[in-house]
Parts: sequence; C-alpha cells; structure tokens
Amino acid sequence: MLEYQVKASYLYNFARFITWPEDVVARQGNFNLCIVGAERFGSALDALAGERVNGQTIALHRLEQAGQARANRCHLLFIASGRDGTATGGPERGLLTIGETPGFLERGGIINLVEVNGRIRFEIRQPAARQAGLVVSSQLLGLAIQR
Amino acid sequence: MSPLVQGFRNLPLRWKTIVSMLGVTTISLMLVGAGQLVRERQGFERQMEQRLTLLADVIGLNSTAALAFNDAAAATEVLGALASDEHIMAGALYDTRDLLFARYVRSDIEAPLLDTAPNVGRPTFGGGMAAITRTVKYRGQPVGKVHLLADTTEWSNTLWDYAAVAAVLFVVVLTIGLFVSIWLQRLITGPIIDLAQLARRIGQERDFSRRAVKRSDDEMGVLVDGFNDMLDEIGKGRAEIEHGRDELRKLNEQLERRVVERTAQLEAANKELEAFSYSVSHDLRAPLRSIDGFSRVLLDEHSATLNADGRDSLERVRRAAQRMGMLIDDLLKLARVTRVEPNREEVDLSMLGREIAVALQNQDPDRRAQIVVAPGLRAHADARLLRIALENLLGNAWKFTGQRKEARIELGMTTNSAPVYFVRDNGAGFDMAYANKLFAPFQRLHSVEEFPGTGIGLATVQRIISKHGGRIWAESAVDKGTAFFFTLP
Amino acid sequence: MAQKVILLVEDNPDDAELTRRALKSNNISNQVVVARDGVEALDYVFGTGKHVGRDPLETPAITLLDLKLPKLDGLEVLRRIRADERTKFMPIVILTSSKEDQDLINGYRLGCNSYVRKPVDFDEFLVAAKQLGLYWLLLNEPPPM
Repeated sequence: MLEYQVKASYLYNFARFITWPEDVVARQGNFNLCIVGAERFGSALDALAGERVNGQTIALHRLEQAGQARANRCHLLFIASGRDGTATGGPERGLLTIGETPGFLERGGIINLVEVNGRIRFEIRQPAARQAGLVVSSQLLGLAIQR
Repeated sequence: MSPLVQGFRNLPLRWKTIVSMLGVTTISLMLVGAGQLVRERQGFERQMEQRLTLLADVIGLNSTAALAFNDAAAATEVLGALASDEHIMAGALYDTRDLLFARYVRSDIEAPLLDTAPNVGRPTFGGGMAAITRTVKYRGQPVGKVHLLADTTEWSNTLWDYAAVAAVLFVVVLTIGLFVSIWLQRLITGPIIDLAQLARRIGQERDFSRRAVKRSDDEMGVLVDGFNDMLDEIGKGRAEIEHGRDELRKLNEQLERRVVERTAQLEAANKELEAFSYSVSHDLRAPLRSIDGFSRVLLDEHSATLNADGRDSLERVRRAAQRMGMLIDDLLKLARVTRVEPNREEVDLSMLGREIAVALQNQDPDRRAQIVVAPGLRAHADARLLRIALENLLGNAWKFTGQRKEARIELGMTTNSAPVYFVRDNGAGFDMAYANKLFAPFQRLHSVEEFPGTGIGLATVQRIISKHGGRIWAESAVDKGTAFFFTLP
Repeated sequence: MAQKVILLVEDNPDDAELTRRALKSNNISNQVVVARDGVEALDYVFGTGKHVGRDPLETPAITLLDLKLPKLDGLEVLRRIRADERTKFMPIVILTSSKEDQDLINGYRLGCNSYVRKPVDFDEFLVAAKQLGLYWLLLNEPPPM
C-alpha cells in the first residue's frame, strides 16, 4: 500500500512538473486523471480527487482499459503493471502516459516507474513527451534515471 | 550631575569656552561615528539579507522537484552548490512536514543544523552568523523549506576596523579641535577677561579714571563702550557726591557756628535778664519802700498837721506804692518761670492742692468756702513750677468766689485719652468773648476795685503749662463760675 | 548789763532810717550802728579802719545785713565774718529787697541765721521788725564768749 501511496503522490507531482499544450488545457474545465487498475491504490487516490493542478481541478477516472482514455478526455493515464496490453501503441497529443512495467517506454509510454534499491524512481522518454506536446521540467528530467 | 554643572559654572571663562567647543566637537564626532557605524551595519545586513534570500530562493527553486519526488540525493546535490560561496557555513532543506530532508555543511566546521525547520522569516544575525529560513514553493504551492547559515565574522572584523579608524580620526580631530578652540578662545574671551581684570582692579583701587580699550566693533565693542560710559557716569557721580559732601560740611559748619553764636546770644540775654531781674528785685523796690514807709511815718507822726484830704492822699500814695510792689513781684515771678527749665518728677497734685487750700483759708479765716481736692491726682512735672501754677489758679478761684455766700472750689481730673486736670469755681466768671485775652500779661477782665490783682498770674500759669508741653484753656460765663482745664503730657 | 548794739549794714539812707524807726516804734531801744558799705561793716566788726580799738569780741546783739552794698557786697561780708574765729557765731540776719533764689541759697550756705525780705508795705515791715527784735534780742540766747 505504501508503494502506491508514493506512486499516487508521484502522479500528482508529474501533473505539476509537466506542462500541457495550451489548446488541451483550454479544452475543458477538469484535469482528468485516468487510472487503469485503480484497485491497487486502495484509498490513496481519494486524496487526489479535488486537488488543483495548473489551475484545474483533478477529476479521477477509473478505467477498465487504456482504450477508454480518449473517450474520457484523459490528460494523464496510469496503466498498472499487467494491464498494459491495452496500450495505444504511440504517443497521443495531450496525453501523458505512465506505466510501471519494464519495456513500457519501448511500447510507446512516456514515463515508467521503476523500483531502485527499495526506492521508487522513474524513467522519461523525452522524444515521446515532445511528440505528445508535453513540456517536461528540466528538474524532473534531472531526477529521472538516465539511460 | 548637579556638582558637574556647578563645577562647569565656576570654571573660568577661558576653560568654559574650550570645554564647550571640545564638548560640541566630541558629541558631533561621536554622533557621526555612531551613525556611520549603524549605517554600515544596516547596509551590510540589507546586503546580507538580499544575498541570503536570493541564494535560499535559488536553492529552493532548484530543489522543488527533488522535494516533490522525495529525492534526497538530488537535493543534497543541489545544496552542494553552496560550497562555491565561502561565507555559507551550512544549508538545509526540510520537507513539507518540516523534517530535515537534505543538508550541506562546510567541511571545516560543525554547523548547528536543526532536525526540524526553523521559523520562516527575515534573516537573523548573532554569534558571528546570519541565518535565514524560507519556504520553497513550486507554482505557488509550498514543497518544503530551505535554511541557510552564513559566516559574518569577516564582516564584523570589517566593522571593528572601521571603528578603529574612526577612533584614530576622532583623536586626531579632537587634538586639532583643541588647538583651534584655544586659538578661538583667545580671540573671543580675551577681551572679556581683560575687561573682568580691569573691573576687579577698579574695584580694588577705586581708580575710576581707568578705561577699557576697544578692540572690535562687535558686541564686545558695545560692552566696552558701555563699561566706559558707566565709568564716566560713576566718575561724575562721585565728583557730585564729593561736591555735595563739601557743601554739606560747609553748611553744617555754618549751622554749628550759628548755633554757637545764638547760644552765646541766648546766654547773654539770659544773663542780662537775670541781672535785670536781680536789679529790679533790689533797686526798684527800695524807692517804693521809702515812699510807703515815709507816708506811714507822715500819717503816724504828723497826723495832727494833716487834714482828712491830706491823709487820704497819703493813703492813695501808699496803695499805689504797694500795688507797684506787687506788680514787680509778679513780673519777677513771670520772668523766673520763663527762665527756668522744668525739672520733672512725680508730683502729688492732691497734696499740693490741699496745702494751698490750707494756706488760702489761713490767709482769710473769716471766709466760708469749700475747697474740694480729688484724691490721688498725680503728674510728672516740675513740683515748684506746678505749685506756682496751682497757687495762681486756686488763688484766682478763691478771689473770684469772694462774693459768694457758698463758695465752692474744686481741683480734679477728667480722662478721655490723656488726663485733663481742672480747677473749677462757682465764682464771678467772665464773658467768653474775652477769653483770648485771658492769658496775656497785664490783661484783666475785672476792675481792680472789684477784684484786686496784677494780671500776670494767668500768664505765668500758661507759661508753666506750655513749658511742660501742655495746654490750658478756660470755660466760663458771667456769674456762672469758671473752669480752667490743663494737660501735663 | 549794758545793752548790746544792733549793727545795721545798709547803704540806702531811707531804708536805714525806716529800719531805725521800725525798731524804735517796737520799743527796741538798743543802740543802732549803721554801716554804709561792706568795708565799713567789717571795720566795725573787726575793730579796724575808722573803728580801730573796738573789741571784736564785743559782738552786736544782731546784725541786719543788706546784700547789695557798695565796695564789698553783703555775701562777702557774711563770708569774712564767718571765717573768723572771733565772730563766726555772731547772729546775722539778711535783710534785703531780693527774694531771688540765688541770694537765698548763697545766704544760707554762707551761714546766715535768718533771711528776711524787706516788704514794700511799711506796715508789714513794722511787723517783721517787731518779730526780729522779739526773737533775737529777748528769746535767743547768744553763744558764750
């Protein structure tokens, strides 16, 4: 559970340290945070709902599969391990994809969470982020595992 | 404080000036120096604050992601950048729960870093250190706190150096000030001191011909002019006083001379009067005795050859001679009273009155008269003169009640503010219209046939009373009796 | 015993005459010796001058002495008489016109036995003369010689 509490706060912090394109932000009022495999987080996600990020209120969407992201106008899509078979296959404009499965980035994901020495860290595929129109803060990049 | 002020007050003017100038210089230098130090310190603190704030904010900004993603290693790396500033002794990052998250301490020291975040605010200075704590925010939201410690000893040393330089400058300026003030003092107080010495010397030697020398046209010059004017006035005043004193002395001498002359004249006049009285006493009476005596001899031994007319004429001659004898006696008495100064003592007026009453009664044993003398009458007067006065007054009363069947004569006293003595009778009385003639010598209000007398008695009484400083007056009416009142103060 | 004389020292002949008459009219029969001035009075008293040979011890029964006298005045005469052992007790009555204080005082101080003022009224004078004679010539015991 502690792992997913940390991961929940990571999701929130990613939303803060990454800048979405202007047109996507203007599209609608809420920041749609979508989770595939939300059951692993338990109640840790509840704290995020209603928080504000970049001037928008976080709206939580628990999805069954990644394909539902477009329909839900997701800004951020987390795909839990073992559920990534539903991945879209390529970066989509305005959608930050985060996974926790090795090889997630190779399959088109932008950020992948990795456990290193008992600590949760992350990898970022900057070209994919750029394709999705997302600007990643240099500090965030500095914290990412260098490959 | 008070003895200090008193001491300053009694200081010579010269020292007062020097002390004042040096005092003012010292105070201004100290104020300027202190102000400069405060300004310097404030300047440094402001600079330090800017620097530390900037640095803290930069560190904070660079640590936001590390704080957000709980990456202590990354945070420590960021803090490591502080090593480039030798003045920063330590730095620390605290997470949102105020727990120590990452730290940096300069290798050569042991910095006192706390495990929980200190209060956020402006930098604090003390113990040779400056400390600041600021909140780290990311996009307006706090992600932790940054704390920095800076070494300020170098700066304190600078301040001390500055103070040392100021102290040296202070001494130098003060020394110069001393010389300047001594020089200025001579310029300013020199004339005043000269004037004071002159005033003291004039006071001691009483030489008002000295003058102060005018050396400038400022207030001092005015003072010197005023002083000299005052000396002129004093000189004039003294001359006038001397002159006045001479005049006074001359007048006094004149007066004394005149008094001596007058006294001598008076004495001479008195002597003459005495000689005159003496001569009158002896010589004027002798022929009268002859006239009266030989008239008597004629009447006794040659009555046979005289007819009634002749005898009557001789009786008239005798009466005239006797009356003249009486006049001479009374005149002598008046003259004696005039000459004599009263020799005052306590006199028992009642006793005196009774004695005179007895004498009167004895002279005229056939007369029925009541003489009432009030008891306890006393006066401070010349006994002999008073006896003469009472003899006259009571004698008059006796005489003017001669035609009364029930004669009553009273000697008494009334008192209002001072004692007033009186002699009252129920005799013939007189018309008050002539009261003003009463006390003049030889003035008579009755004919000699009616009442004998010389007209000198009351004049004598008045002289006696006025010799005592007293007053005498009468109240009377024809046939209603007379009262004489007199005072003896 | 032969009657003693009365010495009258008086320069005024009228007064001398009136005194003599007054004494006489009072039946005083003593011889009256008149001295016209002070010197003459002393000559008589001390047996000198015109009275050489008179015994000074034969003092007059009474001396009536006027004060105002030619040459020597009465007070001086009195002083000299009193200064002499032989005559210092002889009775002297000052008989004078004056009643001035100074005369009275000086007279008594120099030792007169009596002071009588000559009154202008001759009647009074007669009374005075009578009393004088009565007293000094009959009543008074003269001092022993």
